[in-house]
Amino acid sequence: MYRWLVFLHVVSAFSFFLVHGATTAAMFRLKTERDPDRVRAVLGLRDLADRWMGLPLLGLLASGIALGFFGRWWGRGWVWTSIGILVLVGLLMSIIGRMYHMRVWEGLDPQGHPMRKGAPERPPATPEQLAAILATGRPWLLTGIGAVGMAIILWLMMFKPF
Amino acid sequence: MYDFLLFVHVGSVMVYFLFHGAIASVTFALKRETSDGQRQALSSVLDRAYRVAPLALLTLVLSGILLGLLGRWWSDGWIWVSILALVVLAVFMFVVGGLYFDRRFEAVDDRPWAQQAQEGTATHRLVHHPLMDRHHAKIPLLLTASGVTVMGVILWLMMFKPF
Repeated sequence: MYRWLVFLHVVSAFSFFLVHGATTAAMFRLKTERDPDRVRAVLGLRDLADRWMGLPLLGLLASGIALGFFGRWWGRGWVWTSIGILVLVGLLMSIIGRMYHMRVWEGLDPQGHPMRKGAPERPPATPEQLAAILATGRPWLLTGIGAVGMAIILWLMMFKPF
Repeated sequence: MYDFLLFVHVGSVMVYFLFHGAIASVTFALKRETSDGQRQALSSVLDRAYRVAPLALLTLVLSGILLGLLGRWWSDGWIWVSILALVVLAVFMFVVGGLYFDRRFEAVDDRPWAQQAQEGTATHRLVHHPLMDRHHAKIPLLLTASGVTVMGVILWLMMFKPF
């Protein structure tokens, strides 16, 4: 049972990375795009991935919690450190990445994006304003945070040092 | 050393999936984007992913070979079945995925579309091919389902080493 749960945990992690790939690629691409039509396509790609991200994340968390009970890991430090890092990385990704995504959508289509329904009526951003919004993206910072965070979590899970 | 190589192997799978995921998402997104500009933007996303994914794949293969040597796994059946499954999947993805993208993109001149994707100028066309014409809308799902299934089997073989 324990090994099957590990299998499920790893499958969920790999699926999560597979789905998350689109948001990473979109973040990098948005930095260089200026044409609203093209920006819309890249944002759409990110939205597509966003819709499916919850499923592998749920599998990852459910199997992780079950593994903690089956393996009696909850008294160990590495499991809590991993959770702490995961929460921190998730928060930073949301603050830096998701907010950027929202700013670009808002610039393109102030009333049209589903997450901004009910926002006060404003005209779309001018090309200069859109370029300024797009330039605020930090894809390398997000990649660094994600890569370092995930590498530490993987190391903690594989080597269980404390 | 073995544990460290395993760490590198798993880490490179994650990086590979991250970049390959961008390619997979583009196959789905292409189904609904209609303007040339939108398709060009998506082809540019593909180009970036295509440039980085092979690096992760190389690390994956190299660490896998070393793990096979250090763990003395080369005489076991599961490792050869895994390699065979990976090769079959790669050929399938290359042929079917290639046909799908060929049908979706056209270079504005004689250069390959991948090169023009790098410049963000590849445009859209619909190339007629009997297989693609009949099943075109199902290709992204077919590619994803076959990829996830085969990778699941390979992961199972690597974790459980049944024979």
